[in-house]
Amino acid sequence: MNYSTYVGVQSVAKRMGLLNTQQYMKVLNDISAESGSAPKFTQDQINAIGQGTDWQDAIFRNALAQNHQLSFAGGADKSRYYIGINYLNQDGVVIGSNLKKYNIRLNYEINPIKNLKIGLNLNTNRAVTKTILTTNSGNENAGPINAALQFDPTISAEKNDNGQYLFNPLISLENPLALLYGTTQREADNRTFGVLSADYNVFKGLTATLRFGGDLQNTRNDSYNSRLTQKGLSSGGIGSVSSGESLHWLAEFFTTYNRTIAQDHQLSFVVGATLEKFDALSLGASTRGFLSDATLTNLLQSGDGDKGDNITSGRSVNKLNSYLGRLNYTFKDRYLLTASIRTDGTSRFSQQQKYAVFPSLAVGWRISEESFMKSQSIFNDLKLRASYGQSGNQAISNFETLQTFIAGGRAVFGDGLVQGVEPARIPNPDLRWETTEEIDLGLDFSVLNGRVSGSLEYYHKTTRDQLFNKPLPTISGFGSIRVNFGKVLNKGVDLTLQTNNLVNKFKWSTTFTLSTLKNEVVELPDYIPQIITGGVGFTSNYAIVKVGYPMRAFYGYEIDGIFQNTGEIASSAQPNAKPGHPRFVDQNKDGKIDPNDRTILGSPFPKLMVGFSNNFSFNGFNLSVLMTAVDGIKTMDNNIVESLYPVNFERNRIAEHYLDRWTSSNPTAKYPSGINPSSYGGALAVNSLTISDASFIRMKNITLSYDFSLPKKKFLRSLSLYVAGDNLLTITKFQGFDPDANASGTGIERASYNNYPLNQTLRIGANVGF
Amino acid sequence: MKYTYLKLTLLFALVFIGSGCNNFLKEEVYTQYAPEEFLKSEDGIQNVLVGAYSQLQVQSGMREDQFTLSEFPTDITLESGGQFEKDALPFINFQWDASSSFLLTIWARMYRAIRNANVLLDNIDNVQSISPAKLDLYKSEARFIRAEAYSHLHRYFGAVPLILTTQTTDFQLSRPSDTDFNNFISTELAEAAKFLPVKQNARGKADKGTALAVLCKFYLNTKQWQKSADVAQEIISLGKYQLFPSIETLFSVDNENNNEFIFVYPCIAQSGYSNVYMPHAFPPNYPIQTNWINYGAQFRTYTSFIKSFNPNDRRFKMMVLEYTDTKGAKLKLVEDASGKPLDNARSFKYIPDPNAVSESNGNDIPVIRYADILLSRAEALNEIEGPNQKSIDLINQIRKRANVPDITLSSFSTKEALRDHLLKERAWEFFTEGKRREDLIRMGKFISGALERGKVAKPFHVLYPIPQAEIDANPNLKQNEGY
Repeated sequence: MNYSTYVGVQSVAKRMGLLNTQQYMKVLNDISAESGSAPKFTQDQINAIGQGTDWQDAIFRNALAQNHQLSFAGGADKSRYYIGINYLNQDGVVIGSNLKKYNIRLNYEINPIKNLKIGLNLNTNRAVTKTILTTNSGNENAGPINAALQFDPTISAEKNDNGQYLFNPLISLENPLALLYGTTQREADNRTFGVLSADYNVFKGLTATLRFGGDLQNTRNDSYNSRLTQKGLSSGGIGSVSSGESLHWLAEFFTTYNRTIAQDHQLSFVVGATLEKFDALSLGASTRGFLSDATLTNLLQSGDGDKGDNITSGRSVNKLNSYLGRLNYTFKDRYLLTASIRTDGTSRFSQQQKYAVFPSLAVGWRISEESFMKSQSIFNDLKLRASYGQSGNQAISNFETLQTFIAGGRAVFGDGLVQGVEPARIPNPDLRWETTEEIDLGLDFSVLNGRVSGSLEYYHKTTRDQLFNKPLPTISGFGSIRVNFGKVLNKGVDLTLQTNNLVNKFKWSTTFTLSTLKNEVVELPDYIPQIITGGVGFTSNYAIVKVGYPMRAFYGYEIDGIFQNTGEIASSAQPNAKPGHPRFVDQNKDGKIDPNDRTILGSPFPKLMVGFSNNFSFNGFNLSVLMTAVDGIKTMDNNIVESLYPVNFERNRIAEHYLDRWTSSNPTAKYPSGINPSSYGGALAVNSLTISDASFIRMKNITLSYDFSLPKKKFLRSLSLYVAGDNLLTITKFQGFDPDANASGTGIERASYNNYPLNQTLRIGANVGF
Repeated sequence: MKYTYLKLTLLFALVFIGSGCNNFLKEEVYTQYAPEEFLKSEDGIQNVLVGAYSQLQVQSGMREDQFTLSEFPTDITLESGGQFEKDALPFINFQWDASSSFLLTIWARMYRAIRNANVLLDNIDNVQSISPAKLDLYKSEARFIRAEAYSHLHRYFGAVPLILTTQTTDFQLSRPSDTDFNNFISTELAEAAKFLPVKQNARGKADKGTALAVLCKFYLNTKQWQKSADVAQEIISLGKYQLFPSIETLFSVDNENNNEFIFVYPCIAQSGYSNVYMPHAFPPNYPIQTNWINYGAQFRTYTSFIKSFNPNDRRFKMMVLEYTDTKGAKLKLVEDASGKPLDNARSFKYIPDPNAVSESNGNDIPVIRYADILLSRAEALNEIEGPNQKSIDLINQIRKRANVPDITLSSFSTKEALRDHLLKERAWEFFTEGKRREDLIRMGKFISGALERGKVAKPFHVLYPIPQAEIDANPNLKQNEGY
């Protein structure tokens, strides 16, 4: 029996450096003065304001987490079991967020008769999450993180006499605290999954296996917007409940044959087939105009019966079917060969394209087993390997090959709504499996009695027939069509090096990993010379797919300085600019700045990823330190866009952009003046200031533990205690919360925008064996 | 025995998995309709027609259409504050570019209307059960929707690719000539008007007057004066329409069933299908009912326009010039104490819906009303023959209702003089209705007016740029001059 536990406290690893209240008032006044408008704040207001409100302080907190895990294992000759129980209760760093998770795991294995083994793995869990609104809408529908980053810092965090939170009538954001306390979001998820398997040894070397897996999930989401928010107040509360049921099952049958011939030849074959089905049903209802906020989402029928009631339901099914065969052959542990072939089928493609065949072949040569290596003592292990393989991807939506009509487009006639019907898409019946071909060459080695070991691997991966949403001219009535298109190459080197630097009483070992990646679009069909895509917040079309560049490389305008005077402007491609405005590079030198001056501004893929972990142990003490680094990656940072190009004048901004903005007395500033930013915004907002470097070095984890050495055969078998810290330090030029995060729900183009902040965690824990 | 049984089971499993898979991977559709089934009945055709109409209605997009594109670049309305500020500024300041999402939204919505109308026109002849009269009606409605969508696009972009069927995969179309494009629209609208009934069974559906009104305005905006005047007369002669007696309450929810609105976007107090104007018009901390909301975005009115009104004008009563806010402060919106214009008066034309749900008001939005047809005929006749009594009489119908003195023919010695008056009269009559941009362009004052307001306006600004995403996706599509 084992018990392990930890208690931790989490905090926001890094906040955004916003203007504080005094700076905000000064900057807004300065900009007003420079644009010829009346100052926003009087000197009396500035003197009286004091600290104002730091809205990040207002919404973030130090949050507790605890985890308990208990497990039992046992068994006898004919049966074995394992039972694990887990409980996690974790508060989020944004006030009001919490996760509670309960989990039970059961593994059971019996041999009812000779040659038959039956196994059952069963896992059942329940998770209840209280989340915050994470919407990135530009107005009152924005979530609390979005609101806190832009809310007016001169406004008090207190409520007024009517019990409502204060707000700025021009800013179009709810008070962040009204969002925290006035909106409730709860997600409950009950899930049970398991596998039942039977292995039957038919005769020596031949085993038949039947495996049946199921994953049943029920979810319910509740969301309520109370009268504490402006939106909730005017709507009389907004409540919605949605629930879903999904079943995923998998049946596998395969036969394995193992045989050793004349001692040196080891052979094994596998043939098998699988069937798989995903079936998801959903139901949702929402209403507003509640009699009272007290009932939250527990009494939807108390809402207004006819204004904006919304009932939805849905069902989607998709299926997979595969056949596979594999052969392993080993000669004297020296020469290794694996060959396999599989046929995968999916319901998502049309009849002719459902199945595709994916072969693979791998060979290995363990040089250290050769007789000529027996005499040397440097290499304990040395192995060369090479492989070639194909794999498929069918990750598209259902029905993309079918022409269907959907209920869509409701029209108002008189005072009533009538449901209309529209074509769903332009189908592409020729869609087929996306195929990735991968070639790997590798070298594994171990020298000096295992003191130094590692591997070096080169990979070359070509993906063809990529399943891609190609933008269509919208004169078709549609925005895009799914196509198989082009060819993309990923190649690089993975290096792993493990060294046992000190092996005596004081032990020190190091693991170093290094990966390089080069991603490049190598081929596009003639009819698609390039695709411009991307959308986050109000910013769109910042990524390009073009031969010779990384997939979805950032594409926009290059800024090479700031205009200092009217003379400089007159001789430039931006005759309407003002001093203090950014100077865009006229790439095609035609004397004007237009979409033809867009250029590649960086790659969304890292060039280099490094992991460096060190482990020290002495007398039961163990210290491990893990560092990671990522280099050469960029991201579209929409928080920078919203700082350099504020949604409206009243919104708060990133301090650096405005403390070092161009003015006639600060001509060497890094950032533009902020006077009339829309005149250098719009499409121009996708530029070399907003596409930002997301490289970083991070101390990901430090753990210090102590193993008590216990006398044998006592009540306690083992005991260790530890202190751990996660994400204690990140070194980066990136201005947002976390350079490693991608904005939620905005598609596959890399972007950063109001991401949930990275947590810094301190934990103490124990592992006990009974 | 046991062994045999097990072996048999396994064999069965193998056979089971190996066969039966042909059907296993058939794609099952639970939430969508097969077109061949759906489009073979009259009900199905009607549902497609509803889908086509829906794209011409508000669908939370007409705000940009009516205000951002059609009033912010003019001498009537400006905007500050709210989420809108960032997107409104380029339109106020003549700094818009092809990346504006508003342009793409409108472009894409109109082409969805066209697509849905084309679905109907492509399939309706296969439906045997529809009576010939109904067949003509549905076809005419679809042709109206398609032609209105094209004329809507024309107002912003000029001639745009004509796509007239869904049975094509060639979407890399280029732009037709102006003549071809204009002929298409006028022919289609005239044809549609022929079969549409004078009165439809519900507000929001196209009837004869609707098609003729769109045609009348299209002729007017393309300066086909005689045709515009004739179609206007045809509408007048239908005898169906008349001026609503009280202009200041015409736009209230209670008066939606009037005989003045010819073409209307019907609205109900439900999110997505509503009129969302008022939350933008309430000034900061304006006392409102709890079921209303006041947005940060402020739709403001230029003081110069406020000053142009006759104080007795009933239309002027829809302007809010001062108010007492929720904190008891008395605030002036026209001028500050020193007489400096604040450009901050508010048009309350769409009288707030007492039963609004948050931003959603139920007030219908008129696209073309009878007053516009009368003034269009007055304008067309003036353009043809200079100042004339018919034009004066038509204008005076509008002025009488507004409680302002009649104008007389003798006060207008030239065509230009009456045109200038019409431009003013139209501003007083149609503010907050999204007409100003096209009126200014037609009368040649769009650019000169902007220059007077200090904007860096260029002649090419009379057309908007085709959305950049559309240019990026279609190499055959030529961008408008200047962008």
